[in-house]
Amino acid sequence: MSVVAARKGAFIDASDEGVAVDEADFVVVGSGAGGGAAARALAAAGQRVVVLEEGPFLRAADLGYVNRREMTRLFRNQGKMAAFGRATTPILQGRCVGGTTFVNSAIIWRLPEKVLARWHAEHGLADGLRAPELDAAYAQIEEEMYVRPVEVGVNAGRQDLLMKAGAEKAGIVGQFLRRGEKGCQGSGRCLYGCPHEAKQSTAINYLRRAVDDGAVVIAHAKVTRVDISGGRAVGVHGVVDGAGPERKQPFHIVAKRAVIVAASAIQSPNLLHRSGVRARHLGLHFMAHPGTTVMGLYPERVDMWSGASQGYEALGLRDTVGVKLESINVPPEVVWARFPGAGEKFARYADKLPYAASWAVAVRADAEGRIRPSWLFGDRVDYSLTDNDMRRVAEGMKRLAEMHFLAGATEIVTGIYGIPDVLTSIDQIGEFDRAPTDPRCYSMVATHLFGGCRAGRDPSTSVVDPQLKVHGVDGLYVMDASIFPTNTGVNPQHSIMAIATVAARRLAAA
Amino acid sequence: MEITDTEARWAEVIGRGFAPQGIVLGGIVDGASIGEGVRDEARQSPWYFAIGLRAAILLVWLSPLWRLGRLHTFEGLPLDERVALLELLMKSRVYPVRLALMLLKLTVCMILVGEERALRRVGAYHLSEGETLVPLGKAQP
Repeated sequence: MSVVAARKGAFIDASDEGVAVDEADFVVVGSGAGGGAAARALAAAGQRVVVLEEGPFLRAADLGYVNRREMTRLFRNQGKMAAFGRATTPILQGRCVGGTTFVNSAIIWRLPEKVLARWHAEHGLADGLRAPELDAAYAQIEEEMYVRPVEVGVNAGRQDLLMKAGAEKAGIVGQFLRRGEKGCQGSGRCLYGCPHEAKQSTAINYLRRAVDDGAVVIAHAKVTRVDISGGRAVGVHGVVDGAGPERKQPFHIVAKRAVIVAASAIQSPNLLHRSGVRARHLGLHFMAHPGTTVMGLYPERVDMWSGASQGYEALGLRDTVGVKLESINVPPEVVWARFPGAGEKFARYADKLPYAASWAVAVRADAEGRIRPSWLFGDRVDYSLTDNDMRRVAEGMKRLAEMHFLAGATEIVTGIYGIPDVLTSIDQIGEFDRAPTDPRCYSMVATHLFGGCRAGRDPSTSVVDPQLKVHGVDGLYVMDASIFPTNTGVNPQHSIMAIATVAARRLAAA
Repeated sequence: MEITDTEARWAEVIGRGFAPQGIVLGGIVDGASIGEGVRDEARQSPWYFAIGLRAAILLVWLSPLWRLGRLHTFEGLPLDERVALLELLMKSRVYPVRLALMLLKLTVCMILVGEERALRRVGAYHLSEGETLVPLGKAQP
């Protein structure tokens, strides 16, 4: 392995070239929202930064649209990761340069003031996460990531317009989503990375800015352990992933100033655990915004895969029921599987795919789970939604069904075991009131993952302090959604980026 | 994890119970091999998913015996009874059975509608219009 001080910016594929860096001021583990923002802030401050990402670096021209292939390439565990509990709940996490920002819809929401106030009051984060600093970071990110709302006539899809109509008729406040994008053509492929480089993932925005400022971003570099010596993080150990000639080669990088772990709400706590950190609450308080969809069939074509992958949100139930409703273009393969039955009747549903609209309910779940390393699964997630969570999910689904009918749908696919598969009239939506509270009766997916390394002033109840430094270990920081002490109720990318930006700037200046 | 030729053949028969030939999107994906698709899926997936897939195939294959009390395999039933049995299993009160059937059904859908021709037929992602991808950005390798 060549010895190169990280002075000149570059993207490197370790699988082909090896990890050509052996020392940096800051080693950032993970390249998603947290890692990308931290790297950008540190590099802009003149620090030598290396970003290590275990997944591949993908070029726009390499990106496809066949679900089986893209899930395998872009998602952790080929998109087949799951939480275990009362029900088995799939978890979607990006595993590539850009992390989940590469495969999400780039929805931008600032952390609600109420949530930040609670973090200040109940978790002692007032010193670390000051509102004016966060506001400045939000403003900068919004400018640099080209944040703007989805626009009618540009990238709003027909299913977004239908949802708007349904929400208005149902009296639910809504709006077009604000997203980070520049030149979105509405190709509907956000889930697989943007083929036009319009959607602003960290891979095409903040990491490029960091590289321009001298950072080195290394793909296929899987960190297995943070090197902690004498109560201080001094570097990382890892192994090269991928299929190139350098595969399986071990590497070690010295961190002169600090190691920043930004590997996600699941991988960050487990990496700390594997590195010998033994905080009592490490891996606890895992939270999410689990969601599911209600599908409507319309008499006219909807073509939900034309337009931004997510374009509209109905917010009116966020503070009352605790759910957020969004349009989402679930891949056609998955949409078809949601139709009921088998045989000829089911097969003919494939002809109706262009007429389907898919709207999601995401719940700010009460449930808390646990993350731990597992020799069987790599990462084990124990997580069970509560009865109260499921009641709110069912209420959200009922409102989605109502909105579908009001927007003109002729059939609703409920997707709940225990009530009819299909409803054909708005008079039937009372069926949702009979929906069971057992999560095994629903097809839920967990996204927006939080906790596991929660921040707080008290070392006996938290993992990192208000500056996001791991309690009791110098030079080791966590800057991703794992530090969130509570659920947020909104899409977390923007909050993660802003918090990482503030914390990294402070660190660079220290 | 590799599945056997026998399991691939069973998967083909079960898959055609979900989606009989000649019907899905006017038959344009009739040439797709569900068995080979399932084999690929098992090969590329984490071990626990592949085991789940194999268990689901076996569960359905033997379901006439344990669910209907008839001395047949799934293939031994006429098509209409296969379809009825699949629907019965998908409505099972036992969660792991429903989960296994959902896994199989989803995999079949991934294989069939995941075909390029099928995606074009349903008009997904503007594929019928053709598209031009942007060149690589300056900082990419």
